[in-house]
Amino acid sequence: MGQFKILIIDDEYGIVFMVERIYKKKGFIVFGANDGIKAVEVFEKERPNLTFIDIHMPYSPIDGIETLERIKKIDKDANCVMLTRIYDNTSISRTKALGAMHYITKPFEIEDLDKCINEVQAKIPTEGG
Amino acid sequence: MANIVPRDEELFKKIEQEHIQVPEVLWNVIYQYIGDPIVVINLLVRSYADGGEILPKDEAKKILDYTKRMLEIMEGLYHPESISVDEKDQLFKEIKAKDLKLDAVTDYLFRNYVRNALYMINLIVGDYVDPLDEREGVSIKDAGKILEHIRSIMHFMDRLRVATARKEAY
Repeated sequence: MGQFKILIIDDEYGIVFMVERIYKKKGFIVFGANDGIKAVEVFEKERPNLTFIDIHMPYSPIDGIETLERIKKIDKDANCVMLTRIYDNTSISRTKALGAMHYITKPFEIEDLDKCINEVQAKIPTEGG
Repeated sequence: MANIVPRDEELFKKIEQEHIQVPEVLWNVIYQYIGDPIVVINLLVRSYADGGEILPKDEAKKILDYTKRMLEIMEGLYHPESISVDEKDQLFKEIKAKDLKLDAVTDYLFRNYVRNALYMINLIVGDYVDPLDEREGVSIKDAGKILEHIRSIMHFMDRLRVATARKEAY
């Protein structure tokens, strides 16, 4: 299995920076994007194993839902986890219908991201397995 | 764990029973300007503390910048009239125009759980960023205290989110 790739999309620069730093230290390949348009470009080029997408990105030309929609058009099997702020059932329903695997409510702990990474890693067949 | 506010249980029950809501625009400000920086500080401190490393002073300065900005935002939530007319964010314009405020109970809880925790973090990191301070960086023990205050804010926000959620949303 090649190195596990993660993409984090959030319009809060500090969150992207810290997630990149923490998971690079753990040996993952991590890409970050502060807006949906750039994120879709990174996704198309790098094809990450797991993508975390902030739903509410007021400073991005497209929000998290549209970002998810565009990513799923590129790869319908993409593993995407949504980062949400409140019990926004409308957004959660839409993202589930679009194929998001989970949602994590902000403010989150690093373990919340770990769980999703572990779940996706477990799905990837090991070499020779 | 940080101190529990007196009558904590009773106040949260009151929020649920009286269906006290937080206006959506205020929630958006709280999540964007307080919730997101809380995530950043938590990740920042843990990126050192989890490995048993001392938090460098330049990182402590970043935390101080975040907490100062968060305290300014909270001031704007208490006193919408104090929000600068130059504020570009539409959310603040809406708060100011509609004079939106937290109700008395959530306001009290916010002051006690969020503002006090931010002051405590300020005190801890402020000591280290003092130019006369000769220590290498924030000690593991003090980083642990920062994380306690951060988790206390996260726990409070989660409880408030659940308490103020419209029941039909479940």
